[in-house]
Amino acid sequence: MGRSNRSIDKERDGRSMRKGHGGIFSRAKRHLVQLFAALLYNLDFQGIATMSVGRAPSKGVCAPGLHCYSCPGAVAACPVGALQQALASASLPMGFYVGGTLLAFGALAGRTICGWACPFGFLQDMIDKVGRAMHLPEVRKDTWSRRLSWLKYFMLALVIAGPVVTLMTHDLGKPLFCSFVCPAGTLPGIALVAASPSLQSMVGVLFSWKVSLLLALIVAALFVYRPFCRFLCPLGALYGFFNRFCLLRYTVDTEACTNCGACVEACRMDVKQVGDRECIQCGACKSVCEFGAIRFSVGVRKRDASPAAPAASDNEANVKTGATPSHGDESKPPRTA
Amino acid sequence: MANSNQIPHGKSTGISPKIILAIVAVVLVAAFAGISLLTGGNAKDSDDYAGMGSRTQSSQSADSGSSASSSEAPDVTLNLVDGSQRQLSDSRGHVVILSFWATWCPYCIEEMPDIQQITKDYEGVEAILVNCGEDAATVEDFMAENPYDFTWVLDEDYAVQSAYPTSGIPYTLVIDAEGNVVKAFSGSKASGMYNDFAAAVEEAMK
Repeated sequence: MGRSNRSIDKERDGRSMRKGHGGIFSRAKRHLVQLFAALLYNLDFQGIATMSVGRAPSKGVCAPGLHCYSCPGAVAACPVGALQQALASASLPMGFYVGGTLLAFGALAGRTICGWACPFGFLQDMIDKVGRAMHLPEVRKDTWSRRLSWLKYFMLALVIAGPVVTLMTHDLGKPLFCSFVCPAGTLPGIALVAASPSLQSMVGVLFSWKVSLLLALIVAALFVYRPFCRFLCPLGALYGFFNRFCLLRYTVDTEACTNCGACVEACRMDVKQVGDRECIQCGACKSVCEFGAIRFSVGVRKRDASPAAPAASDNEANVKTGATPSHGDESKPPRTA
Repeated sequence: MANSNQIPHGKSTGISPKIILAIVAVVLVAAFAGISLLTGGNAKDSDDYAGMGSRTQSSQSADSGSSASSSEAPDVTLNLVDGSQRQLSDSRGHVVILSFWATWCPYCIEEMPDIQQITKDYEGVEAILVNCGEDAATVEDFMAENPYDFTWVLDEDYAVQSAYPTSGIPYTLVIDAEGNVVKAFSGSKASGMYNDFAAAVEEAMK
């Protein structure tokens, strides 16, 4: 079953080998950054040791990625949780505070946060590694996954509407996404319940539902790359809106690009163009680009196009001009359209 | 390394997404049934109230690890919203429901009608509501909108909460007339807490 997939993997690896050590090195580097970020999110070692939820003042600040406030190791707040809390409390200052924080993270990094600084994304990357190591068949993106990826906008709607609607109907705003969906919160939830007999006597249907959902996502992550991020994450949906103009992102040099489509083909997210709303800026496309047209950019750049599909336009000319100088010419400004 | 079966780019290969979807659905249902079986009917009493673990080792040492059916509630100084002070031990002689809450905690606020009903249904039960970390103005605003007949306590520096083995709220204890903790509840049930509170209060009154 897995044969055909592996042959694609080999081909992909072959391509990155042609590019030199860059691909493998940069991928390992990303995982190191992810690991470091996950540690930074969980610096409350005392909380982990005593299995208790800390009350440090730093919890008044949002971490950039999805990360449950109730995690014993957490030193900061989850932006999705804080957003729901701001809506539930209908407090204008808190709304501005959380909204401003989210705008700042979005404008700075967009979904670069998903690819590099989200502990739950890191967890799924590692589960994916296990799945590949076990030679499980991988289901790649296709029409089904592109359709399913719209579901995360529904989750974003739930994040916003949940507290507002419950506030109107019950006079008590509730974080419905946290309660019924968020698998990142289920992880510490299991740990806390396991550590506390008094919590064990309290768990009911909701606990069963959330643990089942987490298990289902973990199983899914063995076969499908990052299922939560692609189909369910409201934070990814929100940050995706910033992907086109945030400061840290991958950009395509349209002069060097030949529209060969290798980047979109190599990408395991539901990306149609490098850097679109689904892009988590992991850089896999960079290592497969034979023309050096993709690079990580810092700062404000003009919006540039990248190939949606192989196109047979003026490719020949682009190959000649783009392939050779691209490496040493990092500072070349993008073509003005 | 040369492959005889080269697959064109952009095609989903091998296993069908429907099969994965089916596997995931089966896992979801099986896990739900399994976990419900494991945790459901788990009405076992958690007699010691080693709740969610405490950061203050000293307070925990008094009662952690005790398998006794009840243990003494740590005595604390209560700063009432009206500015006065009293000891928790002043409430000895009647049953007390001690509940930790905050205005930002919807699940704490949901317990309040149940607590109020208990104080109406069981004579002589006092409800002491300890707010966690918020200032007097915030609590007074809440009290104005929610006129429950409780003893409202401020705990801006978490001194009271630190004396109890909890860090998460809602956290509600039922304390008998001798000052012993009969039962502690971490978190709350979606179906409401009245029956749990009532059972604990009845036990405390025995």
